[in-house]
Amino acid sequence: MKMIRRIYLAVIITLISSTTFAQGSGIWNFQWDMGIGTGSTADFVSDFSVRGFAIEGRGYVSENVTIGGRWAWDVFYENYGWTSETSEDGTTTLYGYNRHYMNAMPIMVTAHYTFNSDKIIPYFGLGLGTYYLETRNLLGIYYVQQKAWHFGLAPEVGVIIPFGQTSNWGLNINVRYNWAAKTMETDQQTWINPSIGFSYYW
Amino acid sequence: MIMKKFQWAISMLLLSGIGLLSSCYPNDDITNSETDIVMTQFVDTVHFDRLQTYFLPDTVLPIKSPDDTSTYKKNPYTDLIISTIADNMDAFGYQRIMEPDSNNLPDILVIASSLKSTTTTVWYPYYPGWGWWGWGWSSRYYGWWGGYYPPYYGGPYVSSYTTGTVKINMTDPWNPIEVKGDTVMPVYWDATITGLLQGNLIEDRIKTNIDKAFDLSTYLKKGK
Repeated sequence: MKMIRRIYLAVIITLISSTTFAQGSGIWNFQWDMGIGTGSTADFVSDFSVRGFAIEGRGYVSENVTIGGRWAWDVFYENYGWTSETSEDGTTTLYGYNRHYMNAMPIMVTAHYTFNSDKIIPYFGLGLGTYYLETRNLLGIYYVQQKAWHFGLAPEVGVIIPFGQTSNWGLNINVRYNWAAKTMETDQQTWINPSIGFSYYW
Repeated sequence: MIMKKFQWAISMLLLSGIGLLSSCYPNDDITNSETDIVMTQFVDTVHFDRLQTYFLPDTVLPIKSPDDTSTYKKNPYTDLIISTIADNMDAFGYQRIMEPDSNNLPDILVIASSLKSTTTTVWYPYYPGWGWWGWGWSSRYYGWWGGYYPPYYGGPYVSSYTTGTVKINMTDPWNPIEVKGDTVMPVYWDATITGLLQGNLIEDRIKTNIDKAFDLSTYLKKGK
């Protein structure tokens, strides 16, 4: 085969292969969410969390823009051990085995801009929706609990690395900042999710 | 083809769901000792440095509601509770008066009391519902059959736990006060100790927690 035909053939095959991943109808993401509290969330529970999971579906509405939805569940836990707390007036002291928990469940509509390519696919985007947050402050077998739905925003940046030019699967790595607004009865909560997982293009 | 594409998605979803269900409150199992709580309160206008002597009855009183007419049962840890309180009071410099009389009145009266409480929870994992009517074919009876299927209850499940509470009150019976029409002894210091009443280390925990209540209350030592 002449060189020019080989080049043409190589280009055509490459284009077809890259479009397998670069632009399908949508993307499914399955991710392991890690987390680190910031602000007042870090005051409540500062330990790094490895207990989190997220599912996201995105659909292309144009060549680079996707609209989708995301659901996740992040669990934060810190064991403070034996602690004593004294009231502001100094007359009451409480001593016990203290643990803090925060369960966070974001449910969001997402929009992303994807820089399509056949090697790596960077993207950035924003989630808008609600967070269900449940915090527990346990002393022994007793606890004080707060539960509320919060309005929230979650900007994120990430990258998808395809497992090959003909594969519909890829590695997805991203970082997301979560902001759950304060409510009438509960404080705002903020944390960062470094996440890693799989993306499936369809 | 489409189903095959979604098989991976569904598999991932299920596997993740299993992990998810167990992650809500990790490390929630604690030892019996870790259920113990000690709380102390005091009146900050009291001059503890002026209080030198005390009387401590050798009985742990039961905490009961006024309507409770059940027979009093002696607390099995009475001797331990009384001796631990006395050791701590003595270490703080208080002098115990064993037999007070009109010529030898103590400055304060220290009272120990206790309560044993059992909490029972009953729950049903399924809604009982109303059952359903079913129809089907049975080759055995050569015909259509129908019948009523009663609801499946799947329960109930019962769990219970028992907690023990010890209270220590430092009171002044010589200077009663009026509270909502009642004449009461003012309480200058209160310690409450509570925890699960189970396991083999109950006596150790009682002593440790009474000691802790005094450790948290070093203001009682003033002037001694």
